[in-house]
Amino acid sequence: MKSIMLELKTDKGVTYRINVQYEIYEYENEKGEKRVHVTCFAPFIDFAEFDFKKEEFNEDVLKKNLLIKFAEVIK
Amino acid sequence: MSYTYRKYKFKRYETEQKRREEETKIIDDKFLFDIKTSGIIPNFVLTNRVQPVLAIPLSYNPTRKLFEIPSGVLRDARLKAYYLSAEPEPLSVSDFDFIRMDEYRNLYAHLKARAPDTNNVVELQTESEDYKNLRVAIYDSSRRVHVEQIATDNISQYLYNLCTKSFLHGFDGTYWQRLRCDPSYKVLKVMPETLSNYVEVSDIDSETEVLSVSVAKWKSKTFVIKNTGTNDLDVKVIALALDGGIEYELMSYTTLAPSEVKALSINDIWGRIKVYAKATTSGNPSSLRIDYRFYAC
Repeated sequence: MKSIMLELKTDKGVTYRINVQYEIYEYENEKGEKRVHVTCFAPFIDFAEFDFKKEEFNEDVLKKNLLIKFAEVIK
Repeated sequence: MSYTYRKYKFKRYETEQKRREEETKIIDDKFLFDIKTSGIIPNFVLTNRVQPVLAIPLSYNPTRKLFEIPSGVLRDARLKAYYLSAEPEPLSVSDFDFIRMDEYRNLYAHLKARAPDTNNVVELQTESEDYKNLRVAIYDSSRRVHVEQIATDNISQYLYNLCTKSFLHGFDGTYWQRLRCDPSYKVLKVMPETLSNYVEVSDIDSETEVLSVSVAKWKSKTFVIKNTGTNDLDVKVIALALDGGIEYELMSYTTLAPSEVKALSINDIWGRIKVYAKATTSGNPSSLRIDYRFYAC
């Protein structure tokens, strides 16, 4: 289980530092593409799943997608 | 133009049988060479590997002045197969050509396999006309292994079943891993699923939701809340049976001084736990950290 730290600030000025744990599963789809399936566990979102092309996946891309998820639940 | 025709005369062949000692000379005009036979013989190609030999015993009848085939010879003149000069044992099937050759020189053989049981030699059988596999069974002494449908729930205690070893594997996301058992009690070794994490929230002034986490699949839940700021914080814990449902106050607002820690263990079944915090004195914000660990049992 890997983890990354996300930091986000709300309109009220409160800053959250949230530790997100995630698992990576690499696979090859029926078209022969190498892809990465990521399952994340964290408070507020509970869990979230993402699917990336393997060559496009990195932690920054994952953080960007996670921030969108957190923005929906933390006001 | 005139042609002269000469009368055609058949060629006559004289045969001669000479014995080694030159005792007998047989010249018989009636023993003519068979023209049909001489026409067939060139069709056979003899190789150094396969040399068919046909030998029919003849005997000379001096009274009739003829070569004769002794009575009974034709009856015994069957084709027999040899392998490395060994003749196969004939089958005890009467009136059955156990080996024959068709007009394309394909050899057909009717085979029967036999094997001894304790005292007798018995014939081995195939399953049926549709299933031509050899009928086999697994025995331990006189105990024959029982075969039954998987759907059977109730199995007779008097049937013998084949003992097998099985290996359980579990997929870890990348590989199939062999599952372990406890060395003392030989029970499957399992580790209760657990989840632990933390969250840090700073600059809390007005009431703020500092934690919201699903606990629906967790039986034991422990929270440790610490005021990591420099001002007092009021903290309360809310439980919900289902998301979006009725909020129940597990812990009402409790003041935490700077660096003060509050632990809370919850063993009841809930759907979600929420933690709210606010500055004890408005305008004096503070920070906190919440660690939590859940167990499935």
